[in-house]
Amino acid sequence: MEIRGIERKLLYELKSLKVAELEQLSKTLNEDIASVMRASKELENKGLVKLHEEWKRVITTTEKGRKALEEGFPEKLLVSCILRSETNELEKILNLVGREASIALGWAIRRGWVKIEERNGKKTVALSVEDPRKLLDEETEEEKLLKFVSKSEEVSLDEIRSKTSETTLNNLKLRGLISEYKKRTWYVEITEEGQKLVERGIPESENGLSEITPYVIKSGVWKKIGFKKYKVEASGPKIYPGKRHPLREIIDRIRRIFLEMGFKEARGPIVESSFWCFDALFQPQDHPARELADTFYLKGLESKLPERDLVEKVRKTHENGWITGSRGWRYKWKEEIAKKSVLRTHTTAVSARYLQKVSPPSKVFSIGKVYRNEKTDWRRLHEFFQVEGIVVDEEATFRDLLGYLSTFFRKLGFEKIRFRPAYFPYTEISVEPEVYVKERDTWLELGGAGIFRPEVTEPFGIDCPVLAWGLGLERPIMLILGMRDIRDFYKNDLNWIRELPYRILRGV
Amino acid sequence: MATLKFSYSDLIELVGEEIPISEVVESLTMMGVPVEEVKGDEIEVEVFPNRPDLLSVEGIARALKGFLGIETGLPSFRVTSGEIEVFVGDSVKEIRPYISCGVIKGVDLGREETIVSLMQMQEKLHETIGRRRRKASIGIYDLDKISPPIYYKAVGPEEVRFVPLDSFEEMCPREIIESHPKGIEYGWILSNLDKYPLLVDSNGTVLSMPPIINSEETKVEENTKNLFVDVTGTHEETVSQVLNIVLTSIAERGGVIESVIVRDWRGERTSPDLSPLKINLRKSYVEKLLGIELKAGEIKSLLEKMRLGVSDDLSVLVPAYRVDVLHEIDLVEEIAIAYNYMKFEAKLPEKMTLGEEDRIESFLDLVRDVLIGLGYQEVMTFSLTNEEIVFNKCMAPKVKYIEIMNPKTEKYRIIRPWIYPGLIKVLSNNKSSTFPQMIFEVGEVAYPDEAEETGARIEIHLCAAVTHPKAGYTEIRSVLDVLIREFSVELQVRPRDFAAFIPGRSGEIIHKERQVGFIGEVHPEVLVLMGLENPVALFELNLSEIFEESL
Repeated sequence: MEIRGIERKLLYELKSLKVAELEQLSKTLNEDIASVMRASKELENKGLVKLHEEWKRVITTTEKGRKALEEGFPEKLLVSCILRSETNELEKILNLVGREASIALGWAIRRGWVKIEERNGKKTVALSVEDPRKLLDEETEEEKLLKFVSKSEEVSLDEIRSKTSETTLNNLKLRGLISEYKKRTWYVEITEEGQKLVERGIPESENGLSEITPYVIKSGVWKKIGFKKYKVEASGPKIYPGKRHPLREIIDRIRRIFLEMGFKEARGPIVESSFWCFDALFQPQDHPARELADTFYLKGLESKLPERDLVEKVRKTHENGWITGSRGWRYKWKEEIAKKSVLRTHTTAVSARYLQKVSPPSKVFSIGKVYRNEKTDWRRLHEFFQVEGIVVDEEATFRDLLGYLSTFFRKLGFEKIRFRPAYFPYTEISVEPEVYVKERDTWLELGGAGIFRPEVTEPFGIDCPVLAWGLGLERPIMLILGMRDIRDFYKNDLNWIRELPYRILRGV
Repeated sequence: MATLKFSYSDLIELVGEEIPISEVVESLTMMGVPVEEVKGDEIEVEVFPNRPDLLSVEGIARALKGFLGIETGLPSFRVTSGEIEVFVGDSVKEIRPYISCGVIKGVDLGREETIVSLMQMQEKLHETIGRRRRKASIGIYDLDKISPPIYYKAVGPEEVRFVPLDSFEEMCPREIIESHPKGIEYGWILSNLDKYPLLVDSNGTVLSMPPIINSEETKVEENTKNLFVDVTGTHEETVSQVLNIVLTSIAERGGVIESVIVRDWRGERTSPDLSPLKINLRKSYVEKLLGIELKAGEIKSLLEKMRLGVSDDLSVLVPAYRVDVLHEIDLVEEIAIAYNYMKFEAKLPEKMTLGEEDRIESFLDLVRDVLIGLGYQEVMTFSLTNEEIVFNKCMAPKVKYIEIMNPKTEKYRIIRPWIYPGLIKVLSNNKSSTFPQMIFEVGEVAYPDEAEETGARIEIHLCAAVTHPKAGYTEIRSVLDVLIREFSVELQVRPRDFAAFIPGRSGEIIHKERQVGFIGEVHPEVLVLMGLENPVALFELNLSEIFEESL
């Protein structure tokens, strides 16, 4: 709380007075009334004083009254005119008195100072007091009162009443020498808090330099003036750092986890041939997932198939199992269906492409967008991210698969994990990893995993186990970030993104 | 995804042993039939597409009995040979060529659950393995209302009349296709045909018009004791598999299966064929894949829990309803399931492999670092969009773009050819957030290109945009200049007007005489169309073009 200038003086003044008239304070502090009023209001806002008002009757001297004081009361003038004049003829005397002759005559008669006589049809005036000179020297009650009133701007009615008779007062009023009106008076009273503050002493407020310009530094002006203090406890205006998107932050965490586990990163195209997306993964051509209702097909686009030899092996595997020991799907495989271009429905397509060039031992992962022809709602998106991993190793087993998956989920912060049987056309043994969600007391399914079927690997000449998994990322990331609506990822509400702290993003 | 509902008490009755519901739920899940929901007595499960034999409570009970050790090994079904003949006319050859039939005698359909399960199983098999009845469809009739032999033939649209199920009047095939609810739902399977498949008996009584509807006259009722079942379709093996599943499921509640004789243009055969598939299993193969050691006896008993027949030398018999077993590997999974997935000890291999980042991914990460260092916030938008936003509202440069053949919503009809319309959309969604707003996205775009393997050329674009009351060209140009310096890449900006930008305040970004992007102050018309109130300056840059030079 800053208290400066008049406010400060005012408080110290009130320290002993406790309460004072504002006008009075204005005089003692030697500040104009408006400034004192402003300071009082400020202090009232700070709870250090209280302002209250009172209405009073006051008396003030009129213009006529002031003139009467200067020139004397007209009835006295009449008396001195009579004394000085040789004649006592009324008319002549009144002429001598001048403008206020009739008023003078009236009051002189009422006071018994003069009397009017009629002689030979002529009116005369004569003094009726013994010692008229003494009368002129002595002040009347009315004169005394008017003098008293004229000494100040105004005098309260109460004060006057204590000094004079009601008649005198009324006479002056009747003669228009004084006037009476109502006036508002402000009182300033120090509060308990204000009293404490002054008794403790009000800290000195500071004046000084606010801006430090090159001139200020060079000229040394700061040595004389010093610096203005800042309110350092106040927050600054809000600013935000640039950051990765929350989804990317966690994708990056996932990326690091796989790199740490010794996996090599791979990329593949988002537009893919049905061959790589389905056929190479032993998904029969009439599989429901390949239908228009589930997969996005692209107008006018056709893919080229890979080398003849591979296509033939895939065809035979579908039709009758080829040399894989499988019975195959036992239908007629068609090239034109395999050529249809699609938006990839899973990143397993990237792994399928990788099988062409891999030699064991090899561990590969890839993270990318995948697409499903679905209506978007709070739990489903038509495009989302997947992480895909494969391990090609002569000694790989189902237990290793569970090991990789457990490690991955633990590193991502999920404590309780379980595995249950599942089905995918391209894996056998298939497994669905689930994590336990404490808040909802349920198990949440997080994608699929398994060992690639021989029908998938043998056309590529791979005769060792290939562990594989594909996990949708948005769902576990929603758990990490405490989100309820999956669409919020792609709304890019800056308020949300900017206020999401690294503590949550990085899981520290 | 196929789901199945059944009552817990019905399941328990079929299993023949009192098992608490929690144990049933746990066992079903670990057996590969995840439980979706339990509501009172009702259990809803998901059935994976490889196991159509589990699309009935009878099938589930059979599997559960094995998994819990109540009844293990190959289920045996008594099949007696019957005399009923089914004649297949050449006329169905081009229409719906395959049929398999069977009879089951002495069934009890008196309980409500039995009929409900029978209907649900038919419906679910139609939807899944039957591929919405096209590949295979089922007909079940009261055998006592039929006079064999039975004829499967093709008829003209108005050649016969019969009362279809749930109807009161006679209709001809054409009328059924046009006005019967099932005709409307499944008529597409028979579209473009001038003849329709029909099953009739020796009296001319119509059994059904596959795969649309059965007749009212031969329908199954509560007091039906003997059933005739047919499956027709376009894939011979699927047709006989579906028949096997239906007959063996019904037989779980009692009854004797009786074979029929099917005669078609190829000759004569007995149906159904319930003989099991034989696969020789190698113990070493099992141990190598699972990573555990098992005695032959253990393998035998694990497989028997999965209702497979096993001899001491691990010759395995797979029942005819198990259509999912294609290979020795499938038996390994059966062993793993019977062993219980949760009993496997997870391990990590000791073999060393090197982790390695993808070069493009690490380059993109670096680009993000630079933008973030400049205070820019990354956003992520959908890569599917529509023409309205891209070309009409954001006035993007005209290019060939890729359209989706079968979009479900108007909002997502094309693959984005540019990123910046998405960013403008983000800004217009954020009018109430604090300014300045500086955002960027790194993402994929696609164009049709016949030279590419998939018919599409994928590029990775970077777009950065800034908006606040005083945003302008200079500010965004400085950002582009930072990229040029940080990646030592030769980029120039040549003046060029674009519809999306204010004339005289935009340019194309040039790399080795090729246009690789554009930069400018967004035209007020675009701002108004997108509901923006502050100026926006942005650039979009094809990172794929400069990638090689940048690293």
